Amino acid sequence: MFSLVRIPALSLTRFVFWMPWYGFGVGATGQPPGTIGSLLPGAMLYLLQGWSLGMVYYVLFKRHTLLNAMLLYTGFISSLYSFIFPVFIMVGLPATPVFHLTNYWAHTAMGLTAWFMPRFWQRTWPRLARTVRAGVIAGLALVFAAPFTYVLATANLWQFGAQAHIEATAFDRVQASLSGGPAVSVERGQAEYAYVLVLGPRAYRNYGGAYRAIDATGVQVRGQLSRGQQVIAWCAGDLDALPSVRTIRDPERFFAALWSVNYTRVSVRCAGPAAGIGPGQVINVSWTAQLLLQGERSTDQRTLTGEQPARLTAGTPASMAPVPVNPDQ
Amino acid sequence: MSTIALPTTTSAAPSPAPPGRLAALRTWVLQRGVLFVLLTTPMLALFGGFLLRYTTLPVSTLLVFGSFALLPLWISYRRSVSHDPDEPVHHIHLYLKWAVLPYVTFSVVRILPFYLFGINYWGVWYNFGAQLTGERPGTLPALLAGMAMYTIQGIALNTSFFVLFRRHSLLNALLYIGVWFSSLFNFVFPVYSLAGDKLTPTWYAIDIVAHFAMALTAWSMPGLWEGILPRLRFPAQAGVLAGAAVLVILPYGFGIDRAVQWQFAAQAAVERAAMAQVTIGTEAGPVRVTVGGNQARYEFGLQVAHRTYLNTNGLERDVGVGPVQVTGQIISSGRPVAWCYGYAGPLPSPNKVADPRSFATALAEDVRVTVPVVCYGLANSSQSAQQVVVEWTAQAALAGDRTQQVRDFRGQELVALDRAGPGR
Repeated sequence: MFSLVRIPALSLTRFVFWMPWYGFGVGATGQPPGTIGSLLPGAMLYLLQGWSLGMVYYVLFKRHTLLNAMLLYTGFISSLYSFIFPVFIMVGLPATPVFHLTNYWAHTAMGLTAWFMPRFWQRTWPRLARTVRAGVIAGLALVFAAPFTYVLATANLWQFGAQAHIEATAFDRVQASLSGGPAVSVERGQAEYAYVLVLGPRAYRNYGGAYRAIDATGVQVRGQLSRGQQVIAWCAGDLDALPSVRTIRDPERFFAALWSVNYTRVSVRCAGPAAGIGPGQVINVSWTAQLLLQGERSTDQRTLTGEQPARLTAGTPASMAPVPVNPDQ
Repeated sequence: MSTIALPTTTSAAPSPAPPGRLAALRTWVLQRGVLFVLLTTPMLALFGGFLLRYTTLPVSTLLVFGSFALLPLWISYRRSVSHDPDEPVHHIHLYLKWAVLPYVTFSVVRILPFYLFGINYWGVWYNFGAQLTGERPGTLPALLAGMAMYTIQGIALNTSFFVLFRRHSLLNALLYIGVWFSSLFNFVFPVYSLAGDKLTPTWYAIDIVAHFAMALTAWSMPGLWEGILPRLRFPAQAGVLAGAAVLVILPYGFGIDRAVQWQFAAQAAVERAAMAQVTIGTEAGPVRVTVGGNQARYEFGLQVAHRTYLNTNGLERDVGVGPVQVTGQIISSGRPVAWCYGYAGPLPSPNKVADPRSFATALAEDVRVTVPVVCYGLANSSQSAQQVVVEWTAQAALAGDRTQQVRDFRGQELVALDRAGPGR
C-alpha cells in the first residue's frame, strides 16, 4: 500500500518513488544503476524491508489500535525517513516538499492498512462466502502486484527511454576547450610545452530530477602546435577515466564534488624542435580528444576536435582560466 | 549408535494405512524438502554465484535474503500444522546449535597442515569476501566478509544434515558430509574456482580429512548437547561450554592473527620482490617509419614482462601494471629528430579471471604485453639514416593486493629503421 498510493505521484509531480530501489540494488549487487539488473534486486530488498516494517507494528504493540498505527507510521517512521533520506541517502536529489508530503501520506496509508489487516482477516474474512473470498484474494494479489508491475512497466516504457534521451542530450553538451595559453620551456635544442584542455559540462539531471555527472573513460588527447603552416610540436595527454561522482554516497559532499568535476582539466604535454620558439609568440593549438562518454544507461564514443590560437607563456604550466560551474547554462 | 530421543510437545497421529509413494514424497517435501532448500540457500548462493558463476555472488546471495524472510514464515506454519514429532521444524533450534562445532572443526583440523605443508585454510575466505563486497583480495575487509560467508555456509551445510536425515547416525554423517561433500568440493573447487592454484595430493588429502572430521563432529553433536552435557555438573558443564567457545573462536582468531601478524607483511614482501622483477624493454625489430606531408611518424613497441609471482595463498598472480606513460625521442646523428609518446591504461591481467582454465590461458597470453609508442618529427630530419637511437622513459604504476608503487624504467637502443611509403 505504501507504494500503491505513490503511483499517482509520478504523473502529478514527477516524483519517481522507485528511485531508491536502484540504490538498494546497486548497493547489494554492484549492478549498474538505472538498469533492470539493479531494479529487481532493489525491488526485492524493498519488499523485505516493507514486510519487516509491517511486522514491527504487530510485534511491538500489544494493542493494534489506530492510534498506535498512526503514532508508529505517520509519526515516527515518516519523520525518521524525512530526516534520514535527505541527509544520508538522497545523493544529488534535493528533498522537495513533494518528497516530504508523499512520504507522510504513503506511511499514513501504510499505517491505516496495518491497523485494518487484523480486523479484516479476523472479523470480515471468516464471514465471507467462498466466491467472495476468491474475489478478495484476487483483489489482494492485484494490490500486492500492482506497485511492482507498475514500476517494471513504467521503467521499461518510460524511464529507460527518457533517461537515454537525457543522456544523449548531455553527451552533446560535452565540449573540449583550451584553458589559457601553453607554457613553453626550451632546453638542449628542444622545446617542451604544457597546456590544459577543459572537458565539460558534465552535470545533468536524470529522469527523476537527481543531479548526476556524465562519466568518461579512455580519454585520449592528441594534437599539434603550429606556427603558420609549420608544425612545431606534437602533443599528447591521456587519462583512464575522468574523476567521477558515482561513488560519492554522502549527499552533503555531492554537490561540491559535482561542481568540481563539471569541467574537468586534462593536462596535455607537447615536444618539438626548439628553433626560434619562445614565450610571447602566438601559435596555433589543435587537438583531437577521443573519449567514451558514459551515462547510467548509455555510452557513446566521441571525438572532439578544436583549434585555437594562443600566446605562449614562459616555463610554468598554462595559466588556468576560471571554469564555469553552473550545469544548467 | 542409536539416535537421541528429542523432546516434543506433539504426539504422532495414528496412521491407519501406509501412505502411497506420492503421498510419502509430498510429506517428505513438506516436512524436510522445503526446509532443506530454505536452509541451504547459502550453499546455493555459493554454487550459483561463486563456483558455477551463473550470476555474481552478490546477486546469488539475494537468495539468502529471501530465505531469511521465508524461513520464519515456513517454520511457524509447519509448527502450527505438524503432528509428526520427528518433523525438523520442531527441533530446528537444536539443529542450529548442533551445526556450529562441526563447521568449526572443519577449519580447526586444518591449522596443523598449515604449519606442516604451508596450505592455509583461510585463503578462499579472501575470495568469498572480495567477490561479495568488491574489497581488494588479500585485505582484512575481504577476509572478514569471507569469514561471515564461511560461517553461514558452514551452519547451512551442517543443519542440512540434521534436516535431511531422520537418523543422525555415524554412517549417514560419514556418507553425507565425509564422502558426498568432500567429493563434491574436491571436484568443484579445483575445476570451477581456485584459479592460479596448483593443487597437490596433499591439498585433496587435507580437504578429505577435514570433511571427515566435520562428519564425526556432526554425528557426535546430538550426544554431546542432549546426552552428555545435561548430565554434567556445573564446573564440568562450564568447562565443556568454555572449551566449545574456544573451539568456535579458534579458526577465526588463528586466521586473523596469521593474516595480520604474518601474511600481510609476507605478501607485501612477495609483491615488492615481484615488482622488482618486472621489466620493460624495446620490442625486437626495426622502428617503422611512415612519411606524410612534412611529418614523419615512427612506431615501435615496449614489452612489459616478468609479472608473474606466487602469492602467500599459493596462487599464481600477475603484478598489476598500469597506467604506463612513455615519453622518448628518436635520435639521429646525435640530435633528436622525433618525439615519442605512448600510454596504456591497466594492462590485461588474469588476476580477476575466476575460471581456472581461462585463468591459465589469460596468464599465458599476458606473459608479454606490448605498449605501442608513436613518435612524430619533421620528415626531412632523418631522411638518409638507416639506424637511429631510440631513447625512452616509462613511468608505470605497479600494484599487488597489498602494495602499490610507481617505477621508472629507461632504455636506449640502436635500432634499424623500416621505411615505408605514405600509402603503406
